[in-house]
Amino acid sequence: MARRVQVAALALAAALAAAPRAGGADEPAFTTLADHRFDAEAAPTGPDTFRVFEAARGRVEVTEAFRWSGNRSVEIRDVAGDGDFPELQGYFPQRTEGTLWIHFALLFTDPDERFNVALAGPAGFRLAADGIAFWLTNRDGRLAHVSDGIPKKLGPIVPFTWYLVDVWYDVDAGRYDLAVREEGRSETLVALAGQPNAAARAGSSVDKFSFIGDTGEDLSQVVYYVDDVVLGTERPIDLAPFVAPGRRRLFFDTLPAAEPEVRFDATGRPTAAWSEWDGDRAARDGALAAAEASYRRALASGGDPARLLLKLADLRFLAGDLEGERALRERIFGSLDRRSGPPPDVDVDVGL
Amino acid sequence: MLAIGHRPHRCAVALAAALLALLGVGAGAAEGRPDSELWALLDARGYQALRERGPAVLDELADLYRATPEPDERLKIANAFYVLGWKSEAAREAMLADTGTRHRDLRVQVQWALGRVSDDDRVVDYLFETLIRGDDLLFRDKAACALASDQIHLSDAQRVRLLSRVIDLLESPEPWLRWTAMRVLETQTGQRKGFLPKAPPAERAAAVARWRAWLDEYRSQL
Repeated sequence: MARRVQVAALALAAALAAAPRAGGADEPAFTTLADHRFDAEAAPTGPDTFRVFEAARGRVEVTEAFRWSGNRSVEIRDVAGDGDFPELQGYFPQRTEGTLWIHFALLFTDPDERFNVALAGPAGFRLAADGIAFWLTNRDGRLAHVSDGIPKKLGPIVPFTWYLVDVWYDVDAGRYDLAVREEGRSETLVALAGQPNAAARAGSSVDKFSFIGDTGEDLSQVVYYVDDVVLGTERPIDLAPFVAPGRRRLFFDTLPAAEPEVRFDATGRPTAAWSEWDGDRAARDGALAAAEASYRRALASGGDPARLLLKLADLRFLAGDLEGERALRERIFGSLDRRSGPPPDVDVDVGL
Repeated sequence: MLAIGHRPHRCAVALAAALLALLGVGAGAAEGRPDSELWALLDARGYQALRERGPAVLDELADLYRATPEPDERLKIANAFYVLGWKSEAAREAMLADTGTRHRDLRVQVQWALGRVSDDDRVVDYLFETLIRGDDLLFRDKAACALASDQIHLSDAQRVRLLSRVIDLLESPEPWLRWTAMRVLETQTGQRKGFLPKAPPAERAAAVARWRAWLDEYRSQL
């Protein structure tokens, strides 16, 4: 059990068939916003894919132990009392209208250990406008969803069994349809229509998803598996192509430094803000060596290490140094694949 | 715009760190004191190092709290209880002794931290008592903050009990209390259900009826 192979097209077709939706020749086009199967090469982390948080003893990593499709899934392992929670947090273009579809597969080892899955907007993972839209968790060994601010119990969880979850979220109405199917059962376990979103807020937009253990109580020992996270919308969207691993735009374009009024400090040395701005300018001109010198000067002057490491990752990518790029990017966005080995020495130590 | 380092789950802890600075808890000299290693960490706000010791450190901190007569020193320990956020009977019992302290900063921090170390209805009742009948608006306001944001260990049944009392406060004759209750509900649920604290009584009553129907549904899910 739990080692079945399911091709993506079948999963999508089954998911679409399971939900009460209008169909026909005039059905709008479907745009895939994200498609994470976690197979073969682990998808690169980044601002347009996902980020891995492993600040304490919990872990988020790909594994061959269980999978719904392909040959790998992601294991999320929380550790109680370690002061933090592991997280797989993913990103997609913000949806402020229309319908968003999200599909994912989950397998639990202990139905009583707390997990949380959420779809949220720019206000983050809280109950508010543009906050959490869809929230799946567990109560008393059963799946539960938080709708209208209320945790509502769904079907029982059988350990070591895959659950396939499909949500059609109507952003304008702030409501969703939910279908949950259980591996090995022909009938749909959960089929709900028109559920108010988590905070019962019409028009609550979404741009991220998250898989975690508990929400900060630090009591969860959950070990669960995530596979086939796919998001789409019925609207045609021109998605920019990936220009580098994990990103559709380079960091020096998405995180531009504002031109500072003060260029030099009291000792006559360039300020961090000026050095970063100067580095951005050089990077955009293709002067990679000059940009790197400026960014390193900014780092040495107390500039924001996360921004600067990512911009240095851009430079490594543009120079063809893919290992160097990966090492720098993964210091901020993390990695799903420990088998790729420790990052090579990139000669940037900012104490992160 | 990409937000580097943004992790919304952690807003409460980040807020706590900011509040520590506002409270003006300064570093002190740990040398020469019993448990000087713990004091050094507390003085330096070394919460990560405390966290790495695991939940058992709360028992040590609770002992230290009880043995410390100085409110400013107890405040440092209460800050640690808040930031660590682990459930601990020892921490709860230690801080319950200070729920009536005249030291304003310590009193506020105890109000906040109690919910982050316990799932005790007595703590919730104390916060409601402070909110409703307190004679100091600061303590009343901070009790509301604690009810809204810091009761992180409550079960669903306990949360229903808390929400029921907040909904009752929507009918308070005191406008400030109605407004505060609405804010607590909004923080907990993301909604107001049309309640306006200064609306005419009939409109308020209709909104309260919506909240009560909502609470009935919540209760039915327990």
